[in-house]
Amino acid sequence: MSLADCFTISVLLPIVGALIAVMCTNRSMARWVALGTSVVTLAFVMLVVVQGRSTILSGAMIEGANVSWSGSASGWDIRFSLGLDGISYWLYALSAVLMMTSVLVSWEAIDDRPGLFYCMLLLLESGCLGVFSARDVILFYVFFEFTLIPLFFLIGIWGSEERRYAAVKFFLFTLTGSVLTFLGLLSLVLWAHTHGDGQVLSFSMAYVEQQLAAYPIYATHPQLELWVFLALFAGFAIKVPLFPLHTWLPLAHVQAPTAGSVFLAGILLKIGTYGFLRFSLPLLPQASLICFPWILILAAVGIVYGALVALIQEDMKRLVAYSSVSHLGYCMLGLFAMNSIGLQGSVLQMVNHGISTGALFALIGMAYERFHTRRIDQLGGLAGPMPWFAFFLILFTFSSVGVPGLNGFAGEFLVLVGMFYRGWVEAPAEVAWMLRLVSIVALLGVILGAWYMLWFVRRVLFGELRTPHGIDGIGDLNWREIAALAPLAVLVVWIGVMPNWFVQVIAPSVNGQLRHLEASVSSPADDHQATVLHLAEDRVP
Amino acid sequence: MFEPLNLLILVPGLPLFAAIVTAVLGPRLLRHRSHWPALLAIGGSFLISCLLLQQVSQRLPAEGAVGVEEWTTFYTWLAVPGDGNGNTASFLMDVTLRLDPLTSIMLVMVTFIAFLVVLFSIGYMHDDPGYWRFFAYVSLFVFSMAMLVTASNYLLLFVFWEAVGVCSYLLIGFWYKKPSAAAAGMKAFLVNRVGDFGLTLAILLMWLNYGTLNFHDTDAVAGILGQQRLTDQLPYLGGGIGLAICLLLLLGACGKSAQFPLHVWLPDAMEGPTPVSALIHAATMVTAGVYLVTRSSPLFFAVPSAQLTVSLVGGGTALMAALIALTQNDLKRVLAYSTVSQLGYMFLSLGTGSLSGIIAGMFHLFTHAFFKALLFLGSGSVMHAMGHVIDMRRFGGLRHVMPITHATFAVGCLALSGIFPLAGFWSKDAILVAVHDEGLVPHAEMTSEVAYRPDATFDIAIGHAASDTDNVRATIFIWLYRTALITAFLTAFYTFRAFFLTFYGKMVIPEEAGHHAHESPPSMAWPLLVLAVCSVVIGLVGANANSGLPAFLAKTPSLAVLALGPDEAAGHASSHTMIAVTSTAVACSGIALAAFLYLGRRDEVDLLGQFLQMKWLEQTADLRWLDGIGYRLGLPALVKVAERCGCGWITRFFGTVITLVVSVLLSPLWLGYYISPYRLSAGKFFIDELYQWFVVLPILKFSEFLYAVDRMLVDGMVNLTGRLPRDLGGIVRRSQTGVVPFYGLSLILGTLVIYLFSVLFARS
Repeated sequence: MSLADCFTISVLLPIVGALIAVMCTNRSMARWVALGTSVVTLAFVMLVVVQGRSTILSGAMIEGANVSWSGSASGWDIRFSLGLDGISYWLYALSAVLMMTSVLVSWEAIDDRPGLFYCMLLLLESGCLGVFSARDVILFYVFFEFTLIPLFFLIGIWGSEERRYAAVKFFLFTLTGSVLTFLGLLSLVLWAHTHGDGQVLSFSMAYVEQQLAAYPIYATHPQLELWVFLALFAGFAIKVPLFPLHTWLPLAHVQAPTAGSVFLAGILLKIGTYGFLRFSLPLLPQASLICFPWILILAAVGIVYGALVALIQEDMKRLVAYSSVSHLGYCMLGLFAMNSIGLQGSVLQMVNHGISTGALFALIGMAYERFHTRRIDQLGGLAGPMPWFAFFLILFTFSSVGVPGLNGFAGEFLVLVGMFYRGWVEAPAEVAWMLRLVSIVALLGVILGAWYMLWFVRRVLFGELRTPHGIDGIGDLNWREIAALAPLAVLVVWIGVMPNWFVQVIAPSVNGQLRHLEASVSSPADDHQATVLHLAEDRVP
Repeated sequence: MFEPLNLLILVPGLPLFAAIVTAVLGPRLLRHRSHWPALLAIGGSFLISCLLLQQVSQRLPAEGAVGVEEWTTFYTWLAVPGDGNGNTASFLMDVTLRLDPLTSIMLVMVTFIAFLVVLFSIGYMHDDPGYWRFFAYVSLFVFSMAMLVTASNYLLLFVFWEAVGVCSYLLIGFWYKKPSAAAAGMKAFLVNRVGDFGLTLAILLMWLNYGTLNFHDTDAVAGILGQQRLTDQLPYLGGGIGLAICLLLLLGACGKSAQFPLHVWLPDAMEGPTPVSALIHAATMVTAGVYLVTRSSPLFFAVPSAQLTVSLVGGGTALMAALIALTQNDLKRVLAYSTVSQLGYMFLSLGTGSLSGIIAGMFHLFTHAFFKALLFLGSGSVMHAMGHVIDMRRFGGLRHVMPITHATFAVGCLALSGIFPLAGFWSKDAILVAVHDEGLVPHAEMTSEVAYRPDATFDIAIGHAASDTDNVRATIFIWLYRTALITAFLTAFYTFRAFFLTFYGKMVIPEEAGHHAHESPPSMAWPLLVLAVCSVVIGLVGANANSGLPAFLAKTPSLAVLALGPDEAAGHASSHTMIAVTSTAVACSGIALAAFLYLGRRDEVDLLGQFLQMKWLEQTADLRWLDGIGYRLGLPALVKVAERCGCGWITRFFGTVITLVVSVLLSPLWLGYYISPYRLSAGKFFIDELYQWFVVLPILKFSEFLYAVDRMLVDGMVNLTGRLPRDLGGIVRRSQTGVVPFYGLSLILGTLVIYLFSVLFARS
């Protein structure tokens, strides 16, 4: 079995598992099918990740299946083509890891129609694996929307009290954006087509990229480029979610079942940032350069805003949801710092946030299973009877807060370095002060981030023991739950101690994306020289 | 090659290994033997550190060279290469450890104190349910602290700067069931985060401007504190950015070393187990800020105003903390404020900017570690015997019950007060000398700067305006010298106040002590004895400024360069004797005052206390008394007359006005009552309250406001957008009546409207 086959199987296997799971009537069979599928998928994914590492490091792409969906005579060429590069590599791997966690945390929690539940969960996995590996615009969009539907049902059927409202809001909100995104993507394809040889309408991403590099839109239609950028922005920014388009997120998180929250926070939000990095930045460089100060401002506002609002939440899930708004602000900051350091930091931060926030949601779910409350003020002193729970909660809190030596710091610091470089060295003169302000405001988020997380930990874990139903029968985490969290804990430490091993893989692809951007800037060297000279004036001769 | 470098990794490595072993095996296998990994590992680290110290001292270069340093790189933590054309920045951080005099001294000190503290903890923590957890945390701390002082890169230093903060957080909140302990841990972490904000910003700015964060040189780029920059006269940043970097570094140092305005976490941190207070919150972690500033002294040297700020912050904090310590009733809090105060002393000394000043600061750090660890462990011994009661009002006269603790505590107190020839005397004297000299000769300090950097324009710039700026600076240092002397007096006083309250007077033992009130076991007594001996003799290593510890430290690369300037200290030998005599006299008078007040009957104390509380002003703060003033002025008669005339409201109105006016006029008096010297000191200058009211609460209120906005406005807009199609549809739907005549009518009306419009608008 070649690498390409493994890759293709890893993306499609969860669908097969889903079809089996949906036929299972009893709970134990359904969950074992789901666990089996997710473990085997993870094995395939690991195989791809390990074997493909050298390919990615050399700057090439891991290729998967590449089959045409429409006959060549039709004049269309929609392909089922898969490929991984450094940008999608870790997100693809993380999807498989988090699915195992999701299945394990749902083990006891789901009683209602378990077959359907695990079916939806596995479909979601397939969608996420697919969205990161699609190399065809239509395929990307299919997977992009495909992730919506299972999550819609997960929230709507297995959610908490307000699940219907949350599901509908989530669905409409993201759908509205993604319809616009689809228009944007189509216009990119059509632009590529009209400047090509005009034979077959190709949806291949590689082709679109190549055509847009050769015939950039801004060269002839700067207005059009801006409009396309905004169309893409609508869908991606809602997914991220960028302030002020975030209001669906706390609601969806609070109402979703644990597994849904884990996956929503861990993977689905990254599709937005991934979309920016895959399409907006490289294909629409001039529009990105026009919009980036505004997006950076929104990102910085989101960082502080999310952190401040998280500070006063009484609902654990809502607290972590708002913290996601804050953390995704860092991802956006790194992306629109638009330099190599910032982009790499951003991709790493996407992975980090997926790990730490996914784990935090899983932990909150475990607490919910025991105490049937999400309210922080009803819990207290859990560190005594639940030391493993306390250990994991503190570890992932530190990871989320960005304590050095754990994963959060590496991503956050790279993002900040990239942003500071953008603000002090690469800033266009007219917005320089604004970018510097944005950098410093973003850094303030580090203080606030520690505040709300430690406040949360202190109230839940420390002090007098307090639970809503007395203190009887509080069990610590069992082996299943530890197994759900352990891989994430290992990753937290591993990425924190050796981030270079992870960043190395990201670098070649990110630099590839940047090349388009640099080409679009008229004379970057002169600007750079000017700023360096400007800085030099401050120095002592 | 420098073979000791292979050993260097063992110093942090052994404790890390011990931490992992304890964490894995502790709960099940080791249990009450959980101290063994930590004890053995830290003992091993200490021996290796001594070996390294000896190796470094053998390699000291001859006179005039720029110090000795060696480094070794383990792996690349993070590398983002540039694109090669110089268009994009490259970012590189290696995990590089260094060895130089400063590092080796810190390593020896840290591992030695840690070893004794671990030994002490065996007895102190013996029946704690979290026994293994304690030793795992302590080992992790020693690892982090050892890495912090060996890191050869600002970012790596920051990594372990945070790591020691995490260990501190975990150990302060060790008894997590106590709400106060959990709160103190969080407070410590958050206040430190404010400092870390500064440090991160400083690191980012350094990276932007120097292109690297390494201390040492590499093939590609000259390090910030590397030989190339130090000797080849590559410039250090002055101007706005240089000042910003230094002040932000200082902010970071203020967080970790508990300097004003970020000192508020340290006294609360005393909620942790006492050995932790001794190790982390007195001897080692809190000195990291001093270490950072010392390490970065070339950066500060380029910005004289930043140096002055360091001194001002240090001197101010020293005095403020000493004033607070006067009235605290909690023995550990007295010691905590004393730590804040002594750290302030070190900063005061670092800010002088002279080599002797910086070395004096480091020297004080070194001696302080011994006697303050001794004092904390002594208070731990007291606490252990008193059933964890630490309020000095609830025990007393313990000298017969706990003779060893009493004797060793006395040694610690004498050393802290700076009595000849104990450790504190030498280092405090060195600081006083350095500060005094700065106030004495403005021009002498100028020459040393010019000698250090002859081509630097900022020196020349100052040179032109020398007389004014330098006179101001000299005046400031004269005042700082006086502040330091006052602080020395206060230090001696509050130290012996605590000593007398605890060990002298009538024997009082709280009931929590039970039958426990006895001298501590040998495993706790031995560390006390060893530290007491050290507190007596360790000062001698720095007694002579031209040999021993000072000379050794001066060979640290970032300090060695300062030594190239002329040694102005030698010129004032006679005044230095005077300073030694003055400081001893000041300390002795502090002790004498404490003895007068607290030995024997303590009537005078109550009198003094009442005087300082300004009891006689109490009534001015009483609203009823204020209100009564009007009556005393004979107003009632007037009221009666007015009421007969039917215009009583006028008098009542004027009565209120008079009360208001009087209370405003008397405001100095009642304010004086509310913020009387005693209340200010006992209330810690109300800094915690100020933070609560002006920082924490406004942020929380603002957050609530934002959350309301989030639900109403932001989400409201979204919902409105969502509702729009439905509502519009609703309007249109109502027209779908199904009644044919209605459709017909609308058809005709519609046509008419269109016709009308076309007629109206066709003409215009």
